Amino acid sequence: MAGVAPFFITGANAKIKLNGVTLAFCTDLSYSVIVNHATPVVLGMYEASSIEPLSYKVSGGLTVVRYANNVKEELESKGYKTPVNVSPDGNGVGNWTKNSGQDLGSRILSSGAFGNDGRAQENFNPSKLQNGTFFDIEIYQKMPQDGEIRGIARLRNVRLVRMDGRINKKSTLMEQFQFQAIYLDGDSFIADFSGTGQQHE
Amino acid sequence: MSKRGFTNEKGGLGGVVDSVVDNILGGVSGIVSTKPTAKYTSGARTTLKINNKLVGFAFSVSWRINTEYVENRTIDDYLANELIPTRISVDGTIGTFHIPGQSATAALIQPDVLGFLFHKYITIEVRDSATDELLFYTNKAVITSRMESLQSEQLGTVQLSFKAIGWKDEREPEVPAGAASMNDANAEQSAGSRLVQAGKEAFNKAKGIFGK
Repeated sequence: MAGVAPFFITGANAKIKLNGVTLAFCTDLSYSVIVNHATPVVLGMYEASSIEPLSYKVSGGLTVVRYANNVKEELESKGYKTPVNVSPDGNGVGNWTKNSGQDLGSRILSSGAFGNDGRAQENFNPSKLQNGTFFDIEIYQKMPQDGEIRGIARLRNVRLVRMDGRINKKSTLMEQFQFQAIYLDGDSFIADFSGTGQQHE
Repeated sequence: MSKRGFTNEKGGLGGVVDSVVDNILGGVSGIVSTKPTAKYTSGARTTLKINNKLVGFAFSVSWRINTEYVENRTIDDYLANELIPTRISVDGTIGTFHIPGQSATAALIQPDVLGFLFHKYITIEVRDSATDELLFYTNKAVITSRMESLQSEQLGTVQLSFKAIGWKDEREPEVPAGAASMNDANAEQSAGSRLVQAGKEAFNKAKGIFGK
């Protein structure tokens, strides 16, 4: 139909930010919210007498096409062009921070010594697990020529819990991550805190 | 009305007003809806307070109320003549995670070695947060045991056992009408009068047997 623009969200027009950093070369991302319920069945009835909420859990996974550290600089130094927006430091999980880079300042900042940003990059380093903070993953819809942000979902207080790498002769190296989160905000609701002050205890 | 969702929340005064309107309408719709809501207690909707302070790191609480009776056994009667109330005892357990620095002793819930003889009773309150109904309350409890467990690949847990003197729940305890006085017209209903009556009946029964 003439004059109708692409409307729906697809992998091609979605944008993912992790730790406030655009997660480039992400091929897929999934998330799920599970609200466990009990269905009490009492004497004298066939159907459940109620459906009682018991717990709320958020989890999901994402996959990233990997490229290595220093490939960009090496190729460009020999006169080749490289894909747009690739990082000279590679896109490993250790660089999923605003402060990626090998200079001293970036290393100090990415160590978490300063700032209050999430530190996904520490989720697979045993020496940093205890002090690694939670972080957020945000999913947006991109619109061309438009500065307004259209959020779809925000996973709050995330921690990575599993990483799998996979390579074969017919495809690029893919790293698959699984995560758990405390909350999932949608574009039509905020997942508010459910308790009555326990977070302050 | 604004959408309160991620990145669509309006800032400024308009956003605040919209949020307030959202909250009010959300609350009203919850009140006037005719649809059923969850009604059974569960761990998620239960709050635990010790010494009037919310215990945010507890994951379980249980209590047992024993109302003990002994049988009044009489000669030539294979049924109990009376169940005589003898004692009420209350005990239970609380399961918690251990946040370093907030042990049961540090929180003044359990006495330490020097305060053991002087430690005050603690209060324990279990309440349904959805209805604000009191599920269990005692103001004279002591921690009688604490078992802590730390294991690889698991969170550390603490199991506290308590004993208490008396309890109340959704209903405030009341003395039954007539129980305060043996001379009252309703005294026949009191436990003491029943005991006297049972004694009389036992005596008369025995007299009937041995009087022949």
